[in-house]
Amino acid sequence: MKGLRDNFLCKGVVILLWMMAVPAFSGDHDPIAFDADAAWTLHDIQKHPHGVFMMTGPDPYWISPMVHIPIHSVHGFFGDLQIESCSGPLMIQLFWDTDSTAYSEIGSYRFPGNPDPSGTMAFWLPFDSEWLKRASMQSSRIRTLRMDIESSHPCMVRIRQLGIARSPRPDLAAWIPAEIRYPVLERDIPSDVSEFGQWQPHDLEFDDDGFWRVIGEDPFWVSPVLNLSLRRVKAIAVEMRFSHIGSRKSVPFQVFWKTYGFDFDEKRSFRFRVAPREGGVRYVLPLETLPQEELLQHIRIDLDGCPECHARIVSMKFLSGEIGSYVDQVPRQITYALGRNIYGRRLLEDIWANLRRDPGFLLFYFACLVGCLGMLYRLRKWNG
Amino acid sequence: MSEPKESCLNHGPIPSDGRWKRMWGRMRHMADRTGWTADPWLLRLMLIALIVRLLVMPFFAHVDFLSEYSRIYRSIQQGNPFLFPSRALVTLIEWITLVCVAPLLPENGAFLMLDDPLQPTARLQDYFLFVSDPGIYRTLFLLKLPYLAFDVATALVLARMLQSSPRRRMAISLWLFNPMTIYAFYVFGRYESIALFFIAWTLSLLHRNQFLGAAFAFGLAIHCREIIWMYVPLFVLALWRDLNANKALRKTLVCISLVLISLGLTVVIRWLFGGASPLSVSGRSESDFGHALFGMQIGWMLPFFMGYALVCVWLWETQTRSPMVRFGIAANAVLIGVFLFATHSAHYPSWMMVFPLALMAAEKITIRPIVLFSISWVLYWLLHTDAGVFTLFLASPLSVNFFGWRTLPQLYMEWFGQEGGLLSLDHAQLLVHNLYGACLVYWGWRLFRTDGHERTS
Repeated sequence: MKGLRDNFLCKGVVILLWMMAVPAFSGDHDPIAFDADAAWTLHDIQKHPHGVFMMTGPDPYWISPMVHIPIHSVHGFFGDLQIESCSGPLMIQLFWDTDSTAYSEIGSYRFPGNPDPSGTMAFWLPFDSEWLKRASMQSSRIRTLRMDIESSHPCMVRIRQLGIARSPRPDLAAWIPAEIRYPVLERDIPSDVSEFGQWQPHDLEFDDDGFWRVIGEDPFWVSPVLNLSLRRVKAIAVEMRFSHIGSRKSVPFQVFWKTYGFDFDEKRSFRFRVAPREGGVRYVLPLETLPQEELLQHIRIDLDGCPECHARIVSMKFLSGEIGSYVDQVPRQITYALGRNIYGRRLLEDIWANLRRDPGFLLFYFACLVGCLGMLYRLRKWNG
Repeated sequence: MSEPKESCLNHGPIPSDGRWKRMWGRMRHMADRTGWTADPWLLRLMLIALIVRLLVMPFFAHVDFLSEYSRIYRSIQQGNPFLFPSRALVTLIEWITLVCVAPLLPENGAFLMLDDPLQPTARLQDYFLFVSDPGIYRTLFLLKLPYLAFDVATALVLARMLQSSPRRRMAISLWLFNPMTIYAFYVFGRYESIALFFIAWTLSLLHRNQFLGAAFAFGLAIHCREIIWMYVPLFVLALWRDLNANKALRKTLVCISLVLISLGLTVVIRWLFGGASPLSVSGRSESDFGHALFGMQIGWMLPFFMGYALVCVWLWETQTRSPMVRFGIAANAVLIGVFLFATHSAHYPSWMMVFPLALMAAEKITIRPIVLFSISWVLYWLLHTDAGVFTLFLASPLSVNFFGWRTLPQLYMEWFGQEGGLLSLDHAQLLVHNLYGACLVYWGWRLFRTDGHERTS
């Protein structure tokens, strides 16, 4: 009897341990997925039989049921959709909210939907909780997912799966969309752009001396994809070397920028001149005038104003703190992106700020004015 | 000439220490010559005008200002003041100015250099870089000083010319505070004040019957602005009088020869120096200037030439009259003819301002037309403005942002809608254009209406 009881207790403990261990270990790593029959909250979408969703308005989106998963356990998001009756291009955006943050544009994935000929579209969106540095975010829990589909024409969508992976899935890397915009909130800013990848040259040829030579009409370097929040990157500091600039005293530059909302644009570019010293130039470009809600995707440095130059980029660093102390490194002659400058946001502020940078003239100018006013005052009683 | 009254320089509010005395002594000498000490009101007026100019000078410029001084800078670099041979005298004055002030400019003036050495005019991108320099205000201030000097000098010439006229105050006020010249010299930043000074000097010398001096001054004016070539036949005809008197004939021929030699000199300068000019290299021909300068359509030029011919006939028919009056009226009338058909640039009407004021010395009173035309000029350019007419000239690093500013036409469309109708913008613009033209016609009518009443000098 005792043996039977001991055996029962032993098995009971084992069974209990096993029952408790399921949620504690293996369960935490299982993916959470929702299919068409889940309790989706729909907007501008009508649900039809057989798991078919029909887009009916301009802003269609699905909100998943509550999941309440700690954000540090999330390794990525996946989806398997069947998209039909779509005649135009698609753009898919995946948002998530937590118990401390709402859906945000900057905290979302965005990528073009490219279904195969049968209409199937699967994707894998890797996520790293290390991107989220704030303590409150680290301890947050994901509440829901929201998927938006932007299309010029209404589409018919079937959701086979949409969910959250709680274990690393390197095997799904092939399913990462090519043109993806990652969510970035508190991602670490690398010290140099080279950590993202290589600069891509255009109309430039690498010479034996280690410098690039202009060989076409549109010479530029374009950075790798940066995906940096413009709220955090206040400025970029660029260092370049020149082995030859012809008879010039200064080199004219044009620096373009691109975000997901704004393409490279002549009007929004920076133009400036910098005089090389000992074969090198260093300059700081403030990015505070760029749209702060956007992600900086690329920086492009054009050299078309100096076809005879032989140059190379030594480094491009990101400045994230207060940039007031870098004003001296801002080129003297510069037109800023969107035509604004760093001193102020209003016309008179800018004029005054620029005037203050020339105190000698300011003094002389006011002396002239005061002198004229003084003479006028002294002549007030003079009647000839 | 009336003797100047005793001034306050020896008593009253004027300080008595040595330096002040010496300074006031010099000022008194200068003021006495122009009769300013007899009218302290004019001196106050001049100081107020100077303050207005000081307030405007450092903060405005047009892209043409950079074009002009970048050409001068390149002329200095190549050691050839006539690298750009048009307007030789203006070029020389600006050349000397830039040489003198270059040490005070950012990068010793090197920032005036454009990227492309064959580029005769600056692009907007160059201009935005230029105005974003922290030294832009001192640059604009210093490089506009010759314009200020010739502007003030013109006022002094007019003051001297109008010394015995009861309308001297009015004439000087109209010169010092008319919006067209202030805009042309200090907002647009143009060298028109230099040409206008020599025209004023010519008129002043003609008024005193110093024809040889007048011809010399007019010869200098020819080297200041291409438009003055248009006055040459008028000047020659204005001097052509009393051919029966041998002495007068000889004098007249000498004067006319002087002007023609001066005109020929401009051709010689172009021939000698123009070959190296980037204007030649970039393929711009002189024949382009007619269209580029005035923005005229050929069809519209026909009535202008008819009017010009009529003015010449009038000059021929009035040979016994004062040459100053004939030249002043003729040149003013011809310019009115130009501006009836051409509104290419807002600063061009400043060319007219010196004539009616000088004519007041001969009792040709056209105050009302000048005031009305000034108002219509402001209205016209407010309603025809775009970002490039007024706002873009503010020399600020904000640059492109100005395009985002709403102009009066945009506001007008917001107020009255964009649809057609009596209140549409098109109608409003047409209305102010007609008003502008009517004021010019009125001005011309008053010029000729007052003809025949002048006092002989």
